[in-house]
Amino acid sequence: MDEAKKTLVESMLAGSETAFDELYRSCFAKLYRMAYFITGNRSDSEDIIQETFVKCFLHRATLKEPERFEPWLYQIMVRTAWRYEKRKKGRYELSFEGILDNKEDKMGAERILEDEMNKGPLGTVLEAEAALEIQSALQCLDVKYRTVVLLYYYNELSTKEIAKVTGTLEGTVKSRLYKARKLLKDLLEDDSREEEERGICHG
Amino acid sequence: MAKNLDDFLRDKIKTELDSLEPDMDGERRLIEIHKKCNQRSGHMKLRTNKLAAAFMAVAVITVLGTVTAVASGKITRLISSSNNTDTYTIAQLREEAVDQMKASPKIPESLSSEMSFKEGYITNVKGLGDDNNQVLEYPEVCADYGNTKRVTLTSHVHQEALAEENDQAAKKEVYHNVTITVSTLNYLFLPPDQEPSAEDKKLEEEGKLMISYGSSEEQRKVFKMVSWSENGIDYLLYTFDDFDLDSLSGMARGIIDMK
Repeated sequence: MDEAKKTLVESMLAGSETAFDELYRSCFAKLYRMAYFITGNRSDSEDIIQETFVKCFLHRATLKEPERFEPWLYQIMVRTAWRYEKRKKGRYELSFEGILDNKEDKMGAERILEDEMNKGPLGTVLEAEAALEIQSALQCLDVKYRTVVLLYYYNELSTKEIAKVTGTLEGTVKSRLYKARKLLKDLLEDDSREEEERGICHG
Repeated sequence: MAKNLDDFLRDKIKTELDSLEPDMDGERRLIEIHKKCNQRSGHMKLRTNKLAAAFMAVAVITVLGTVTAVASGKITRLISSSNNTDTYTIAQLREEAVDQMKASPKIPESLSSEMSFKEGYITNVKGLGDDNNQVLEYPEVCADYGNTKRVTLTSHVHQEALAEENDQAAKKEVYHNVTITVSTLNYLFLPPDQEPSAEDKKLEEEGKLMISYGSSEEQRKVFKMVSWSENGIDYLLYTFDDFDLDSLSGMARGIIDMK
């Protein structure tokens, strides 16, 4: 965390609403993306962000180390998102909405891969398919596994830090990460095998 | 590809998420966040300090007291906040009042033989218009009195935008050329996720009930207040505790008598 941000956090901790507003403006987009990864729903993500920042301001006294502001904020957001998902499950049985759950987003994902010209046409197609498989797999993951994937790959937190954010044991984090990885790896390998078989038949 | 699974996932997730633009109005949400903080800080204080919760109610009740202003689109909501948790002795409070209000409100040592000054604090009040833009801001001095039963006195420099006739007034009297308005309001505190009943909503729309969200359980209370304006300063004396309105009026008269 740079000094300017640390100063803002310290001012916010002292009760400054101006500093809080600045922190909100600098963080809400990233938090929104994270919430969207967990819930797969824009409207829920907005509500989660709102609730996260309300809790951030009201419970600011619980943040003892200003430099840990971001992990602390992630912690609030993750737990708020989990509560939302739990409520949603209660209302609608089970929702597997996840990242890239609509057609437009999926098309966007393919476009991004198509842009990677250096991989060659076949590589691009394979990766695009693999990406869709991953997206599909992520959608099926339980929200707690999805959160670990998010914090590890997007936020690049260590398993120890993820344990703090999610309020679980580091062993649990490692286990969830291992299972999520294995699932994704299996899917990718199955995908590659199918491609190879298709190649042999057509060749 | 499986060998580089970690890199692939990291790259893929980052690319996808970073390309996602929030379609929310961030500034409007920020105003909502402040409103929620305001509502809930009242409730949070309620659990630890009943009087502090009453303080939060004042801001809302003042809005109710400005029905005409609301209708004309000037002020639709008042938000009170305190930038620190400092409380002051009476001497410090008087000094802070002069410093922040640029005025000297009357702050008595006691309101009656059993109601001595307990502590004081200063809050910042913001008035929002129809479009949630801030149109007003002023400091307000708050002084708490009593122990088991509490009464709070607030004062701020007279604000013309809030100076409409109070429709909630139960009684008016003139004392030494000062008009004292005595009124009550029924208050309903609800947990954040609880919907008020249709009957309570109707009462709220009619201005007969104030609903405040965020308490741990449903509570109904009667808010009693006495207000007056003197030498360019608006005063409000209020309580949720068991005081009759005559006692409150008597305390107000005592403050008006102060030199």
